[in-house]
Amino acid sequence: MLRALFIISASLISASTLAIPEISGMWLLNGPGSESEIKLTARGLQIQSEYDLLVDDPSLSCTPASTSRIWANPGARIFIEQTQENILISYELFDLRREIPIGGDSDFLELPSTRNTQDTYFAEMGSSVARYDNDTLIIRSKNHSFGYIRTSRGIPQSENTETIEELKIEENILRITHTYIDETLYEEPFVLNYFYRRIEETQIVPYECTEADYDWFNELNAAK
Amino acid sequence: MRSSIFVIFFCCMATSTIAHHSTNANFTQEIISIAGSIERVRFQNPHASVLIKNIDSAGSETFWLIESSSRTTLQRQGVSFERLEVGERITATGRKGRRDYTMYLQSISFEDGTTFTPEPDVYSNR
Repeated sequence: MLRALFIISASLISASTLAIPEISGMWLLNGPGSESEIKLTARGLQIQSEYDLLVDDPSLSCTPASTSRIWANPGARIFIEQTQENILISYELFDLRREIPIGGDSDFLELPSTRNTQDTYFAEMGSSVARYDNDTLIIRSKNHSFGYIRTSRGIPQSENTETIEELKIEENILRITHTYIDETLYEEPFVLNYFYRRIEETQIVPYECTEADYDWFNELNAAK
Repeated sequence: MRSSIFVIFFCCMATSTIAHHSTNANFTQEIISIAGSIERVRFQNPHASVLIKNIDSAGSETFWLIESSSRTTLQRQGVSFERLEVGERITATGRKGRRDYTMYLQSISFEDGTTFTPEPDVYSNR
């Protein structure tokens, strides 16, 4: 009887382990991705109309404008580690480190899940928890600060924004479906898809971002 | 030596340009060329850049900021900006920026006739 129970338990554990996607490793954005039609609310449209990308883009100060903005950066390595307790994601861009507990609602932390290597936290990327659903890793995030999903077009996110990232391996390609939900800004959820190829490199090098201070340049021409 | 550096640069830049800010959003499709002398070279993230001083026929000086890819990407391709020397005369060609007197670098021509031509960012819709 005990033997039978052991075999059944072992089989269940094995099946469960097999179902977990193996996404640990180094990844690089593979193509431009895609997105659903964005339908902004009146509030969303107002924010977008007031956006000046030459001034308001948080990237100019080495700040992640949103999780979407950080995922969608060509050429910047992303290293993912799966442990039993956490998902650890190192983004080369801006030296960001994201630590996501595996769990449920009670595991959301007050602190943002993302900080840079100088220990500055970034609420623009929210507070996250992760769980596995068969062959998909699902990351839910909330407690965002204001930011921009698309810095090129000023598509905003707010304190009300909640997101779902679904990570799945499809033919050696990591596919991430990223859904933004915020009734104050979007008439319907805004869905983005990114694709990544695995690369052999193992090292994330320090990015050491320099703030894009254009004042010195503007002063050069103003002084003429 | 100069030719080899920029041949390497040209070959490697085609598929992996990091854009800190969106290239299509920050730069127009208008292609312009500006001649001038190099005033400053910055090899850094998120953008390496070259500052040049242009002097028009009336003697008026204008500074242009020529932005390129990131230091990280360039280093991975084995490319250095050490060859670019302050005071050297060049002609830079690229996409005119929405910010005054800025450009996204497409090519640089040197007085000895050598050039290099990196490709623009291909994933610029962020």
